[in-house]
Amino acid sequence: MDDNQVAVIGISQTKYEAAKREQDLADMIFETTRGALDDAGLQIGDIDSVVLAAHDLIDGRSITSMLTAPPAGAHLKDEIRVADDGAFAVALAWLRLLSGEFGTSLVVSWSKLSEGDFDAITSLNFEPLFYRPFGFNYVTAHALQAMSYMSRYGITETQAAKIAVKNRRNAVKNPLAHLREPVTVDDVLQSRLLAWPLKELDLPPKSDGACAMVLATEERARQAKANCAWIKGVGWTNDTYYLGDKELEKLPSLAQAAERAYRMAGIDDPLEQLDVAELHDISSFHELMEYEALGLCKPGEGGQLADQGITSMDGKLPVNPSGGALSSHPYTAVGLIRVAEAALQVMGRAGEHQVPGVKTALAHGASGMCGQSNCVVILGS
Amino acid sequence: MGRRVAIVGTGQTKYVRRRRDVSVPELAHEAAKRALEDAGLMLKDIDAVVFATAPESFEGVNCPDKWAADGAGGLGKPFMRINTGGATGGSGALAGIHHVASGVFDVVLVVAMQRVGQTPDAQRILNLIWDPIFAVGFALNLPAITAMGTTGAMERFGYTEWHMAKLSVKDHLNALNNPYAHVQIEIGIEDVLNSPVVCWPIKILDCCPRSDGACAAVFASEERARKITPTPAWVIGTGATTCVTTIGEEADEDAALGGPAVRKAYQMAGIDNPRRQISVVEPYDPFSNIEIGYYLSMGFCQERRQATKMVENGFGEMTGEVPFSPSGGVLCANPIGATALVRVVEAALQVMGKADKRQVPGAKVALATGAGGSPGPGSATFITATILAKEPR
Repeated sequence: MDDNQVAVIGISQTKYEAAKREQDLADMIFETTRGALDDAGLQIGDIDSVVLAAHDLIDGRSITSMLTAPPAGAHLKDEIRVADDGAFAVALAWLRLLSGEFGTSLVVSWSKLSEGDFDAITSLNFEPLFYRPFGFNYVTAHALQAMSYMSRYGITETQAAKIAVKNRRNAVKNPLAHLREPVTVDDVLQSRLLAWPLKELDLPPKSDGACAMVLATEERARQAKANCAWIKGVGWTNDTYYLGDKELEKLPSLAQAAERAYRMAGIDDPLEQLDVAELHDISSFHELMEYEALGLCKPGEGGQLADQGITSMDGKLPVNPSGGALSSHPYTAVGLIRVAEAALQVMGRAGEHQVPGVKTALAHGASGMCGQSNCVVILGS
Repeated sequence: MGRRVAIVGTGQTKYVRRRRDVSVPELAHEAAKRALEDAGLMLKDIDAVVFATAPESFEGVNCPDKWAADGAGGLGKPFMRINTGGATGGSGALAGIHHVASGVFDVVLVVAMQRVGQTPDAQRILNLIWDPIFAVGFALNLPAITAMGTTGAMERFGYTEWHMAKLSVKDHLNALNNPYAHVQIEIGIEDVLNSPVVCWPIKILDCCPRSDGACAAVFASEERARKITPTPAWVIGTGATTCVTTIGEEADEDAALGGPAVRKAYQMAGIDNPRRQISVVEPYDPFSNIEIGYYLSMGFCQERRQATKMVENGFGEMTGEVPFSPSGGVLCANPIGATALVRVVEAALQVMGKADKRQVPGAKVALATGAGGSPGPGSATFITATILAKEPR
């Protein structure tokens, strides 16, 4: 495809925290949507498409967008909702802008995990006949996957702990992050065991928060803003639902999604060509698995990348300068936040957690259990 | 749009109260496979899959798209789920259209599914669409909120329960010609008027059923469409509008009935006289009276009382000026998340000339709509419109 057809021209995020008691869902969404328009220098009248990412059960409604679409700027707009991770909303907004039917699109996603029982909701992701009786949920299913990964490649709990340490250290410099206290490898290893090998600090917290961005076609982007982040490649694919039918230690749909995005963006050596990556770190173990699926190293070598500090802030390819999901986890919005943070890095606007001289950034979102669906977005200056 | 898009294959399951013989992925598979067979394609020919399903509380599984993905053909392919309530199937179609129009994908499969039959009480789940503080407590449900709107509309449009019954009889008659329809009974006006009152003025035969079912469509670029089938259904107009419809404030009748979305689609399709240019309509009308409002919002008349006259004159009957719901419509099958895609697929069948016993002779241009959400406290309504044609534009 031609370069520079669609750009991120405005970004807004709320502060991520354990419980936003002073704002209801609609207040939180309105604030961040308004913020994204302000950041793009646009009014709501300038917007002709709205793409939302939200899950009904997470929001506690049978059709959440009846409440949440209006504060996200959808009144009398052409609005559509993906019931998927926020990165998929970016993918759909990108397709809509490429279709020529729209000039600008809001993309908004949120979650208020303080208002629901996340583990109970994710246990409902498992069909009732075979999997649900096992007691699977976000924690136990991902523990099974982490265990498969450890036993297949000899990855250690310490190597995974280093990822939690890295992301939490990065979050200290991100004023919007939920967890901003650094932790040590020992802290991680000695934190409460939830489902072996996953300890409390290997997993994301439960956060409240929202993220909004404005995407625009080339013509509209150039009118609106001098500094924007161009979408260079997008790829997303889906793996089987059945845990017993897949090699749990791999993330094949992430590898396929990356391959599509890399091809579009002209990337053949991601470790060399990418300057920064924001990954959906489902757990500390999963970030290592993601390195492998993204082709940053060979299968089984994710732990070595952690040992060598290659993905630390001062390493060759910093991963999750924002602190990642291990620091802030408004579930549905995680992928959109990754795209937002990658775009901020490309624009040179990431503040204290800016990686110097970023030209090309990768963002990743995941949905479903055990990394069933993955979306990769490449952004460039 | 960036480039021409057409529907080249469709598949539906027979809509029934409850499918006990299939699981979620198996039901999705049934529709997806039929759409591929209809297009003469293999799964390897599909570049991406869009999955559309509305409240998952019906299935009792969170993110049923993930479970259904294997059956819907989404394994190893780009796959995403759309949910806009009752408009979900229409939004899924629009997402599929944008997948192709973008130039990124050439052939895209859209699969929509709902298993309303898995839940013992659909209205208990639908009660949870409204504001938890102001609405859930007083047992609001869809027949009740529609009844409130209908009493106002009866006043403004000047229609009576008899007009509603006449439309119900029409849809039920049409459904006898559609092998996929859920409710297939011969009824007369007296049957509707004497059927039990659900919430006045709505009686049981003014209401849609709750159905299990799936529907699928293959969308293709012009180049591929011409190779796949001699009779593609060309997408010549699309539109969608979300509208805040808070009860207690002045509701925007036109927007809630999809006026802006339909007019955007007309503009794209070059339609300025729908009464002459539209051959057939598949509207999203889960209650018998909704069709009357559509006559106005879709531009088939200019004034409310005219719409009521049109019911009397049989405007939307199979032999009328512009047949509405030759399939029997939502009144005779409502697998909620799939229903709006069923409208698009039925419209496509009409312009392809493949609608068999429910075919409107010589149909050239067909309008399909979807409607989701609801008026009510703290509410929004979602409308989709798709125009399909025998000839591209």
